[in-house]
Amino acid sequence: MGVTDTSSAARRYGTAILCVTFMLVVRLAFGPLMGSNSPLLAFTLAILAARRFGGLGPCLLATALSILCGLFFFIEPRFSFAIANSQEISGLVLLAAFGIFTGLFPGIVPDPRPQERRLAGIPLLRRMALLAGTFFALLILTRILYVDFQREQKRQSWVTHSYQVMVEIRGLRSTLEDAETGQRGYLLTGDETYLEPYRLAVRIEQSFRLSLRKLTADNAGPRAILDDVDQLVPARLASLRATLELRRKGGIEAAIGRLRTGYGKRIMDRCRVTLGALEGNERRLLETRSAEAQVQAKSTYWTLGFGGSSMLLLLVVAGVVIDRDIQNRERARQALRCSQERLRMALHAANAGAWEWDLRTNANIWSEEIWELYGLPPHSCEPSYEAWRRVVHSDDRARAERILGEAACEGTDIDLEFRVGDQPGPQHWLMARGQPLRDANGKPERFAGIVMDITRRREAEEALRERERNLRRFTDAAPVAIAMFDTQMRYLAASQRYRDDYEIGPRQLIGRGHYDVFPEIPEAWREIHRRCLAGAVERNVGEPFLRADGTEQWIRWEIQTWRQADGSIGGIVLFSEDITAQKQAEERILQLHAELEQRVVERTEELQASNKELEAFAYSVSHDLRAPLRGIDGWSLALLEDYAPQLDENAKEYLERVRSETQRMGC
Amino acid sequence: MNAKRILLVEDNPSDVGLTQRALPKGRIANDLVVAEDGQEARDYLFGTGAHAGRDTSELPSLILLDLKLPKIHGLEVLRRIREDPATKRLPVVILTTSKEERDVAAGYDLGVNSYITKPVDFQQFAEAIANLGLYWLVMNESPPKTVSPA
Repeated sequence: MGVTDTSSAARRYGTAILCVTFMLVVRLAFGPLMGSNSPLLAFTLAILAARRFGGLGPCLLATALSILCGLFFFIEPRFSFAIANSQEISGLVLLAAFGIFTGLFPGIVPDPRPQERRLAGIPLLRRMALLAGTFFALLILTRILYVDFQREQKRQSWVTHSYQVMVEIRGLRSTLEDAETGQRGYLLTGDETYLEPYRLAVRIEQSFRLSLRKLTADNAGPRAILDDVDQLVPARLASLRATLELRRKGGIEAAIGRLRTGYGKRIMDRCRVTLGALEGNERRLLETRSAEAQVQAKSTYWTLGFGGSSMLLLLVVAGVVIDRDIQNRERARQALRCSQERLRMALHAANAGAWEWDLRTNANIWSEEIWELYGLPPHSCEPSYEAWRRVVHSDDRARAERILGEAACEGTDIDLEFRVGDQPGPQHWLMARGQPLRDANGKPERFAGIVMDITRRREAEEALRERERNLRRFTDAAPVAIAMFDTQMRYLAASQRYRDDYEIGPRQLIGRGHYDVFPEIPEAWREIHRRCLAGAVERNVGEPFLRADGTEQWIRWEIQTWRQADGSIGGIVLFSEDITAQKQAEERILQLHAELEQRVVERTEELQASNKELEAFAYSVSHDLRAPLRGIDGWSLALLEDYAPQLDENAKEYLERVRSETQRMGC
Repeated sequence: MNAKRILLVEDNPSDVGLTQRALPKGRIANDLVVAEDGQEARDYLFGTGAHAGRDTSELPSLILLDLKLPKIHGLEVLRRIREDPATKRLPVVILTTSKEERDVAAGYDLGVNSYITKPVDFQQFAEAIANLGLYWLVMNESPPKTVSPA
């Protein structure tokens, strides 16, 4: 809607204007070659092109433009909207008829676009009525124009008539004058040849008079004057003949004598006056008739202009209205087709089929997809409740029939999942959904709905359940105490070890609040939980947990957050380990260690005491033994030094031995 | 009186004799006063006991001190010497058979000037005595005799 529509309409109507302009230029360019031969023929091509490329509205617009252009450029008088020849109107009417017919009955123009054929969407009767109406309007217009033209031509003919009368009057007058001039020439010269105009006048004057009498028969006014003319003109001619006779017989003198009487001149003057009166009378008539003719021409012009333009306007407006109607219908139709196509594609994409079940006859209507869903060759049997029943897996049959029976009895919606086929191998799961269609009494008489293949969904669900079971097993069997909480500190999962460690027993955990299960949890720990829910990771290598029953449990724990798929914190995971036994063992070890330390200290002291004794002994040994040795050595040397002369070599040697032994011992 | 007197504190008469022999060999002619135990050494130095009434201003120029002494141990004697203002500057050389580190450390801790282990070989012993005398009595500048009471 909106912009696209507007621009599309502008394009289509623009095409019509372009077609007409193009053909007009072509026709004008080839004008010298073609002359005035069928000038409107070129526009039929423009109309056809507009129908083909624009549609109905543009076709009628092209028709209107063609008529205007033809009238202005080609119909005499050219370059004016006036019409010289009323017969030309028929050409324009034919062009209009052609345009309307082409517009309303597009079959005559081959059109590849399917939506254009949808003009059939307008009922034929309506189109015929439209066509007839337009024709009728055209006929009335033509008739009015025709009568108008008749009237104008009559007026014109009366003008011509007056001119004719005046021509006759002047002819008569000049004939008389010519006769007089010729007679005068003969009187003077006696030459017979001068009498030629006179003789002509005698021959034709009566025909002038008769003609005048006939021409003025419609008018009573000049009749009396004509009676005068009928007397005066023969009288004048008779006077001229009399004078001629005198010339012939009595010579020139006799003729001049007759002339001098002035009789002829008087008659001639009266003739002139009478004919002048007659002409004056006719001139007055002419003036009146010219004025009338002008008024008539103006009226015709206006009739033509007003009638023609309102006709064209009507044409264009009708065209535009119908065209818009067609476009709207086409859009609505297309939208419907689109939505049907979408529905079909949606069913196809969902691997679904549509069905209907008549409760009275048990007959079914199945869409094409159903056969494949039921694992049947297409149209291999008559679709019916029984045919469906056979398709259902024997294990599911009783349940499925019960559900359908209930729905049929109570008129409730059908919602059923069942397997099809008894053949071995992977089984297909189908889901049927349907709603009751009720009769006038509100009693369900039919069901309509869809059936779709949900095997993959079932498989996925089963796989998910299996995974969930595995996860549950994993959690339960995990050899650690682990629990998972949501942001409200409610249990989502807990391992069996967790239940054992904290002696939860058979109580339900999942869904319950951590602090409801353990009201004894100190505020410090709750604060830690809050921090962890805000994203922190905390751990403690060992901390006492004072249970409600007064026992103390030593806990090593670590808390981490877990996150949802979108990255937001979903809660915390608490990993904990009961290290009470370990802690007790540790304390025992510490105690043993302290005892051992004490024992070591005692032993060391004992050892130190004995060491001291030993040291004292070694000291005294070293000191007390070395001192005598030095004495032995010293005094042996003193003996050697002081008493050398009295000692024989043997004694000296012995002394040296004493010394050397002493020294060996002291080293 | 010869100022350069040597006090030998030694309980072993053999060693006293050997020392007396060794000094002349090293051309040391100083007087040798012998105290046979710690008690006597102390009495001599401070004019007490057997040496009561002795002019204690006459102090030896060098004390050769054995450690393993009867009555009072050599280290105790040394401690007394260093404690007394009158004797605290006296050059004291420990001359002993003991090579115990404990004794050496204790000796130096108490302010001994030198620690000599008596060699078993007499000639070496005589040499050591001679060097000792030469060093402490000749080469070394003696400490001032009088000590200001403050």
